[in-house]
Amino acid sequence: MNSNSLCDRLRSAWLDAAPAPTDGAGLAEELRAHLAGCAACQRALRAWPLAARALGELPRHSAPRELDSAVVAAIQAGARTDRAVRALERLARLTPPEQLAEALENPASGEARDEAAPMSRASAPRVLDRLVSEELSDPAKARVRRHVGGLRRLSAPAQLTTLVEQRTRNERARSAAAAALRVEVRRRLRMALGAAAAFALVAIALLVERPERPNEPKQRPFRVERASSLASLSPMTRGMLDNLSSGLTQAQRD
Amino acid sequence: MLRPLSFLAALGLALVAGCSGAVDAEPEAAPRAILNAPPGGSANVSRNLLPLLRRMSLAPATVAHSGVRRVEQYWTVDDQPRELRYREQVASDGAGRFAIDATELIAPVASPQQAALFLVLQKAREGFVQRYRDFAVRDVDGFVRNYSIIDTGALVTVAGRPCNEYIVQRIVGESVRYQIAVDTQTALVLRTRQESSSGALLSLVEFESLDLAPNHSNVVWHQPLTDERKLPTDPALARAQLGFQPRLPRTDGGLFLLQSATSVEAPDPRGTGTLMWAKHTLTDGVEVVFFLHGGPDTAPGRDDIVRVAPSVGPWNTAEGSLHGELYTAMGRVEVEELLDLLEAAL
Repeated sequence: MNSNSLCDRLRSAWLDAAPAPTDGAGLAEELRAHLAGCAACQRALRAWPLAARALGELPRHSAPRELDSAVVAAIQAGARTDRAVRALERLARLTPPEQLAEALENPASGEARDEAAPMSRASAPRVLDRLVSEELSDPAKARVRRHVGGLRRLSAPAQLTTLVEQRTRNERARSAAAAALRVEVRRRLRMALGAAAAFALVAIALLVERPERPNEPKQRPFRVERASSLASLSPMTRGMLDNLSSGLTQAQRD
Repeated sequence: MLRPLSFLAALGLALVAGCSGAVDAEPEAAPRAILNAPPGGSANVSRNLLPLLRRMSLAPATVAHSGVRRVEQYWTVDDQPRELRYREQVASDGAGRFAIDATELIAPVASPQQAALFLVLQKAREGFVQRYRDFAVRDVDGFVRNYSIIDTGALVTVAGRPCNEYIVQRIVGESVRYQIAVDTQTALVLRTRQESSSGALLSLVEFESLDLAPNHSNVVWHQPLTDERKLPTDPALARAQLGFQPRLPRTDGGLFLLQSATSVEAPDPRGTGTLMWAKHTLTDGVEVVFFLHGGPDTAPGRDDIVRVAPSVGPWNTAEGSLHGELYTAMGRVEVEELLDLLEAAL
C-alpha cells in the first residue's frame, strides 16, 4: 500500500467519524501514528473543519420550487440520471485544492490561526444567472433545446429540392411577367399621351385663326384691282410719278 | 363634344405656352439700329449712332456746299427696263436754300432738243429731287425704329473726301438696301447706291466734286412751283381750306410718321376743273409715302375699289374711291403697306 492510498483511507475514516473532536484523543491508534509522520494529512485534517465552517457561513438560499421537478425530470431522463449521479459522486471525492488548505491555515490578515477568516466571496458570472433563469423559467423548452441539439441531422429529400426550385422558378416567372406588363403599360400610356398632345395641337391649329401667310392677299374692306398701265392713274398721280422718276414715265408714254 | 375638345385645346395651350411668334408685337422701346463692324473692318465701332444720324438728317440743309453729282437710274417702268444717267449741279447755302440744275444727259441717247427739254424739266422737278429722290435720314426716331445701319468698316474716298461706308436696310418687309458713303467731317451723304431686295442696282447718286466753301453768287435758288399750302392742324380751318374734312390714316404704333400736311390743287380726274387734295407726307425714317385725300368722289361706283398701278422703279401707287371719297397712296414701299394705309384711313 502506497502512501497515497494510506492517506486516502485514513482521511476517509476520519471524515466518517467527523464531527468528532480532532484533538487526536479519539483517533484510532493507526491514524495517530500516521499523522505523526504525514504533514499533508496533518494539514488536511486541520483545513477540513475550517472549510466546513466557512461553507456553513455562506448565505443560505432556498431552492426554487421548479428545481424539484427539474431534478426529477433530469433523473428520469436516462443518460442524464447517470451523469448526474456520476457528477455527484465526483463531487464527494474532490479534495480541496492545496491553495485553499494553505489559505485557511495561513490567513493573510494575521488573525489567529484557529479562527477562520471569512472567505472572500467571488460573484458568479452573470451568464450563469441567465442560464439558470432560462432553465428554471421553461424547463420543457430548455430540455427540448438540449435534446434537439443532440439529434442526428438528416438531409432534405431530393423531392424537396426539386419542389423548391420549381416554386422559385414560377415566382420569378410571375415577377418578370408583372414587370413586363408594367413596362408595356407605361409605353402605351406614353403613346396615348403623345397622340393626345398631337391631336390637341392639330385641333388648336384648326380652331385658332391662322395668321395670313405673306404670299396670300390680305382680306380688305375694299376690292383691289391691278391696273394694266399707268394711263389709268389720275393726272395728279401721273404727274407726281413723272417728277419722281425724272421723266422716265413720260418717256415711256412717248 | 365641346368639353373634350376644349380640354384638348387647353392641353395644347399649356404645351405651347411661352412660345413666341406674335405677328403684331409692339416695336421694342430700345433703338433697333445696329452699328458694328465686320471682322476685318475698322476697330472704331464705339461711335455714338444717334448723333451721326442727326447730323446726317440736318447736313443737306445746314452744310453750305456745292458740287457736281452723277445720277444713274435703272428702273423698270411698265415692265420695261429704263436707264437714265445724267449729271447735275447742286448747291446749298446751309440755311435751307438749295438749287439743283441738271447739266448733262448721258443716257438714254437723245437729240439735243430732247436733252435740252430734259434739263429744263429737271429744273422744274428740283423740289421733288431735293426732298424725295435720294436717300436721307428724314426722321431719326423713325430710322432707329425701322432700320438697321451697319458700318462696313471701309474708309472710301468720294469726290476727294474721306467717307465712312454704311449699309442701311429696313427691318420690316422686303425693301431696298442702301450702301452709303458719309463724309466724315460734314456727315453729307456723298454717294448712295440703291439696290432692290433681290440685289439689282436701282440707282446710284455720287458726288464727283464737292466744294465746302462755295461761291453762290450765280446760284438760282429753288422757288416752289406748285400751289401747295400748309394744311392747318385745326380741323375746322383745314376743312375751310380744303372744302371737306381731310382724313389721315392712323399712324400711332405703325411704321410711318406724319412729316407734313399740305393742300394741293390738281386737275379733276373725272372732268374739267380742279380738285383740292389734302396731301400728307409720311415717312418711316428714310422712305416717303404720299397719302392724298381728294374729298368726295363726284362719280362714285357701287363698290369700294382700289386700283394698284404698275410699279415705277421702286415706287408703287394705289388709288381708288372709298366710301365715296377719293384717295391715293404712293411711296417707295410695298403695295400692301399702301393698302394698309388706305384701310387705316377708313
